[in-house]
Amino acid sequence: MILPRFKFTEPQTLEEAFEIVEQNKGHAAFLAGGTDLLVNLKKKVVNHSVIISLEKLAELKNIEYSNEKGLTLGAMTRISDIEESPVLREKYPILAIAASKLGSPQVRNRATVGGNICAARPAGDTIGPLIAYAATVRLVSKDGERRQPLEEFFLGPGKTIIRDGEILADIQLGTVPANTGASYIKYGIRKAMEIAMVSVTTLLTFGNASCQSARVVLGAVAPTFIRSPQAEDVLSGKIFSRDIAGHAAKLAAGCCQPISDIRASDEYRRELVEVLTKRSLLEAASQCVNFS
Amino acid sequence: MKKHIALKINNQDYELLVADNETLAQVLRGTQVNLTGTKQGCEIGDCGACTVLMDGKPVNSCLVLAVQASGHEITTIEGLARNGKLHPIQEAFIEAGAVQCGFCTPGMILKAKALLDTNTKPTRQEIRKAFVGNLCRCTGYFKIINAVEKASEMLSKEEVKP
Repeated sequence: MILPRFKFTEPQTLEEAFEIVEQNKGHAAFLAGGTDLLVNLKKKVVNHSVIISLEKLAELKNIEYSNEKGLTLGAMTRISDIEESPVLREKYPILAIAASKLGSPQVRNRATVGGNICAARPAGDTIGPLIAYAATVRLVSKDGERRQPLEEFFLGPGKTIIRDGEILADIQLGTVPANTGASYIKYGIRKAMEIAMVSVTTLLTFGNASCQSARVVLGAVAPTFIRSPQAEDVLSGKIFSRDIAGHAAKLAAGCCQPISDIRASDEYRRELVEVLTKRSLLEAASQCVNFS
Repeated sequence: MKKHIALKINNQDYELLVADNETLAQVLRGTQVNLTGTKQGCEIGDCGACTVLMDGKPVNSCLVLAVQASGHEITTIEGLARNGKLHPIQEAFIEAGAVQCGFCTPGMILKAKALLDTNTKPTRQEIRKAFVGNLCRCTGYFKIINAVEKASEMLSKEEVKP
């Protein structure tokens, strides 16, 4: 399979990158890890005459963690670096777990977190945990920069708020409060090289034995990742129990809008959301409290 | 568009003229380098036949542009034998009968090297997990896993030798 002809550029600075985009409006694409873009170019799903590699932009490779500020994750951070980072495994464990479930080791050694986000697939592995950790993204362009909650970044499958010429520079995560449990469940037929049929991410913070705040994030059951405010409300401020988890799981299943496709029917996905949300909540809670 | 790139392949320096849209796999197998041990299977990153090590890490060379590999160190299957003697992993694949048609073997062996470089005594489960991105359509994987276990033993004995 031969790649179509294109001009490869490798800007050394963001300014240079903006200039190349400006000169090639509508024809240029940014190249991060290439595990999506090069496949799509080969399959002729997309067509770009100019490829702008982000590899040499040091600003996009920054990884910084502090107990005060939390985490800044450069968009060009490789998935394998997330999977293997001791800091991420300790501080943001479900992000590291989700990273370890993406593609194969060969894919993870190239694919980047920024690419996973910008591909905007409703099943993207890192997206659920990032939304659960309340990530924000920093978008830079020649006109300046803006910061947006990741939750509001997606408009539909493959569609985001990113404007022509804008680059996703980094992702920021706040610190995670003590007594927080979290779980990421990816459900598919295979254990590897799989696109989630449904994914459920939950994050529960406890104080005085009751659940103070809850985040329930569902993947592959709507045009974008969604949270279930109904499920979150039912959990917040209550003593956690199996019954409450079951109730929240029912509400989560009620708020998704899955489609039927080659991987599963909409009914099956809805059923999965209920089962997996309950399972995920029990797993998250068991990291912090004993419950009945 | 063509570009000059400098690559170190199997510890040998190459200066190559490559097209912007050429993949690393194509350039490795092409007339300038002519190392055809790297196989091209699916060419979309699913099968792992084209696995090579880039700075010691396994990547699908069908999804790396040759221009992106510039300045990096590449190890292909041709780079494992030393002084005409096969690498212990290669020996282990022969002994375990882990090669049938052989098409997936170069990728499998390089993936095995990457695994054993970081984990000298992997469990069978760890081996299975490491190979999720390498497809074999002949052997059913059983003998390949045996070969990696055998290679792990052979390598650990080799280290004990003075």
